Amino acid sequence: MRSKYDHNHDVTHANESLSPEADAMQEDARLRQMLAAYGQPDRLEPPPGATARVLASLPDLPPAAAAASQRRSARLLVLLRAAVLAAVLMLVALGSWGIFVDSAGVARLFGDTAGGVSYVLLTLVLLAKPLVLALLGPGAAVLAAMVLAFALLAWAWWLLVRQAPLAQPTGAGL
Amino acid sequence: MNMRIDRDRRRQVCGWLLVVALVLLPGVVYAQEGALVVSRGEQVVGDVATIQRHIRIEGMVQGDVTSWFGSIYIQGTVAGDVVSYGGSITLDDGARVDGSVLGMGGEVQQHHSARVAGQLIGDAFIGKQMTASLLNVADGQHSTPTAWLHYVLVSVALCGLVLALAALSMLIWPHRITRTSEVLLAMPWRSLLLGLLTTLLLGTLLLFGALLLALSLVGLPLLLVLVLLAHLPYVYGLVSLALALVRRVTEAQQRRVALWAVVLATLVLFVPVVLVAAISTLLSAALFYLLASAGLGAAVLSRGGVLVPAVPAMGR
Repeated sequence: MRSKYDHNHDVTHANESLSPEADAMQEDARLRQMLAAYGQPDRLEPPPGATARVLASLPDLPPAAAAASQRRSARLLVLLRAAVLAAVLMLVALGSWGIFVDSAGVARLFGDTAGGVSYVLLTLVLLAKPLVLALLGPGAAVLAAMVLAFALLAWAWWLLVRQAPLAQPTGAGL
Repeated sequence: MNMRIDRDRRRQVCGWLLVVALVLLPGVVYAQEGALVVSRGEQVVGDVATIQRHIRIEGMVQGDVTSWFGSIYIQGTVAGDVVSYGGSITLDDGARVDGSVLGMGGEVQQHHSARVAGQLIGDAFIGKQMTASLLNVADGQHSTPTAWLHYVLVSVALCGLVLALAALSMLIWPHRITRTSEVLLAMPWRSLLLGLLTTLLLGTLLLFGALLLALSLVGLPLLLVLVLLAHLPYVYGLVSLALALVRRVTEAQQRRVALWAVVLATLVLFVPVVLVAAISTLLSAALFYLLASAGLGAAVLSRGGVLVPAVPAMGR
């Protein structure tokens, strides 16, 4: 007489002869059969164009190539920033030379200061002079006092902002 | 606990005293009266720079001579350049300038025996008359009928610009401006103080920004744009103040106020600023910043109209 476990034993025995993939497929089929008795799984159609959307959202490059490209972009960005900073520093250096050392010096790099770019540069240097001299005129002590005053004002400003009794609005129509 | 409160209060009082002192300090530092004279035989090592103060050089200046709204008269020697914004430059008999001369918005007169080694540059690149008019309006000089006409034209243009910006602000950010006005009504003194502090901080930052732009030379034309942009928050502040006034006067409990009422209130606030400019530009600017700073402070407190008072001022 075969017990109810004999069948399982047979199955187990039979499974031993199957490859893992075939075994998994067989178990999957059995599970589906059992679920089908309860009308499960209730299959739903995927949303239209889901595959296309997912594919479109994936990067064109494989991960290794994408990482390399990102590294290249980051390097380029650093170089670009350095170039912009260098350009600004160079402009400030040229301007400082014109304003503090030789007003016609920068202009003479581009001509005889009588016309063209040279004339425009000389005009810009002369235009900048009253502004720079008025700002720097009071001297280093006053400038240092201004920086200190700025820090203290910023502190007072922050105190006022931080201690204000304010809240997020709750009413409708906001 | 009481000690902690006392300490906080002491700290706050010290802070306010410091703020008042700092507000008064620049006026003391930059106060300049009478003409600056370098007498015959006198020698100045370095530059000579003034704001709204005339300069008379009879001796020798080793550096540059520059002035904002001050005339420059030279009979001596200047080793550097001579530049004036809005003031006239006179190179009299025996004057010698080793650098260049630039007169912007003012007349440049040169005696036939006066020598300029560099260039003598006018302001033809902007338009001499226009530059002179704008600088005269900025300097508060309305001595001739033409100057008055320029003042009126500039005033009308400014009023139109401010009203257009006010209407635009109300159309774009009606809720934000409403919340800002609520904060202003709930905390008027805190808003005003914060606005004035913001003005001082912004002014200082603008000065350093201007210095950098001037040093870069090519950035100098951007300065005007920077100054204009820095004033946009003040228009927002003025509109917020106008809305707060409308709500206070009409006891309006509802959140929505008619656009025309706000624009009209903005005009009522701005017209005195323009009128005072006829007497003193400095006073007019002070009035404008005082008025707009209250709204600006409320805007900062409300994080640009995002937050509202924890205890609303209206409808309590």
